[in-house]
Amino acid sequence: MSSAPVPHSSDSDPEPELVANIRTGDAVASDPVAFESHYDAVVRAHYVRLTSFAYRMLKSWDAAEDAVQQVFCKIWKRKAQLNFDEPLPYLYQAVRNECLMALRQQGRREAAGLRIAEERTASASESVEDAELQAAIDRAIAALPERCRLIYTMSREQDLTYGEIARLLGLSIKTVETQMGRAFKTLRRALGPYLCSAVALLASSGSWPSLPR
Amino acid sequence: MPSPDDQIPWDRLAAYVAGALAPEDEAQLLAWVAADPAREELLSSLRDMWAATELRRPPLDPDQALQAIKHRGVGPAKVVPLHPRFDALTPSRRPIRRALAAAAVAAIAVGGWWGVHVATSARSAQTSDRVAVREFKTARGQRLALSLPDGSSVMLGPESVLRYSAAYAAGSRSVTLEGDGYFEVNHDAAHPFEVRAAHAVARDLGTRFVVRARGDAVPVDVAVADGRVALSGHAQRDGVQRDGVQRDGMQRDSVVLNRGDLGQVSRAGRTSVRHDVKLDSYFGWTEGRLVFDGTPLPSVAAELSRWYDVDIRLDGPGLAERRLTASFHNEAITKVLPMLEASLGVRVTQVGRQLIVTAK
Repeated sequence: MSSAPVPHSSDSDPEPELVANIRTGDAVASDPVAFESHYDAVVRAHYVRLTSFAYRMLKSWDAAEDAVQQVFCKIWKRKAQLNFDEPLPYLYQAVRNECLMALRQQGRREAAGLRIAEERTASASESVEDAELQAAIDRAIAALPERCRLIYTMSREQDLTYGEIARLLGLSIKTVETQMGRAFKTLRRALGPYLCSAVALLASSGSWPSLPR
Repeated sequence: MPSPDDQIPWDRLAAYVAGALAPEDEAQLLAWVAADPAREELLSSLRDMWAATELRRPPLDPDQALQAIKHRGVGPAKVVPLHPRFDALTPSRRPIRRALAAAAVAAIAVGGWWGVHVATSARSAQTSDRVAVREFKTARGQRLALSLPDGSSVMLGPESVLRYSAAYAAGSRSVTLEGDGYFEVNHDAAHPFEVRAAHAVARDLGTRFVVRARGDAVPVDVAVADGRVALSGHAQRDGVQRDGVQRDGMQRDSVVLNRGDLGQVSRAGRTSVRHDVKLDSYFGWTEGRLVFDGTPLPSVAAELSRWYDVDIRLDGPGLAERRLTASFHNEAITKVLPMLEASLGVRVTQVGRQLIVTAK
């Protein structure tokens, strides 16, 4: 596999970078049936996580789906040769760029005083406690340092392994471990009060809750 | 918390909860936790936290997304304004011109807001997934720029219709056109691009070209700016369209057009070619220019009507033979009509909602 070496950023790097890696002219080059079958598999495997990633950037599910579909659409039209073994580096980079473009457009529209249409919300009904907890969670995550937040959401929301995160961001696994540790520490401090009652309940039952992984 | 913060192995706890801790390190961590009930509480709360920070999503369906992706155009359909909105009209000494100005303003206002109109027709024409046919329609006074699923570009002129089916995305690159269309096609020998327009079929061989098909009674025009187009005729008989295939015993009339050629297909399916035509006459409209080059007045009237969404009629003998050579770039109708009057020696009068052209 021919690929550029993954750059290693030092911990003091302020801006995380996505490392693109497109493999040119490969296995499914001229066979449209094989291409479509690989293409479909990639979309099915990664659509949800890419949309979650886009959601973090655009703060709107409609816009997120639109951005991800746009990226996949361009690949489909140009029959661009994805690295079907490792499509994520390219896809993450492409979705990120698409989101940045959308944000710029949004910025221009807002400057022109045009209102953005309402987007559908994730959940229908919530109790007051739920809503408060959710708001606290959103604030706490938003308050994380940028790279820390990116890594945490990639792990928690996009279902990526430490290795995958390290690869996509051009970091060492050690850095990912450290950042996750920091995220846990910070979030624990911010959300502790909201979780106390839950902990008390669990402690009294005397057993470990088994959480799905 | 009994253990001071900096002695807590946050990295390992995080990795454990996130499911990323190596099995060989697990035992060590759990031993650490078991040594103190406070640590067990901590781990438990971290698990709660992990669970609570689940991202809430609306239902996302990758299969549905796949369908949407494959039927999507790259970039939205864009309405291209034909000319600047009517603002200050220069007052004129001749009372007729003032009447014309008022008529033109009324005509344009009635035409409505361009963007919403076209967007509505594009979306409302879309049918269910099973019979997916996309239709784009422009009204008089509008043009539309859009992309096809394969990235080819189309610009529709005023009062025109473009249709293609879901099969387009799958490789069968065929569109139907009524009216005026400008095409910039990505060449793909394995999947030739074709435009079916009235009694003609234009097949791309790597090109930029325009097609004009305004009904059965007139020839279909195809002009080529770049590349080559294979143009062939469908003879239409008894309402049944035949492709001129051998089994009918009929020769397909076809011709290859190069840059600068104008091909025409008559209603009977006969093709003819003129070389070295002035491309601006055929392509100017895509850049907002109306170009007439020795064009007979009836055609001029029809084009101006479509372009400006007005209704221009000719009334009087000999008018049909007059020809116009002129070029208008994004000019309001109030400037165009006086020029028409001057260069052709005619008079344009407003009667009701029509503009009547008479000999002076």
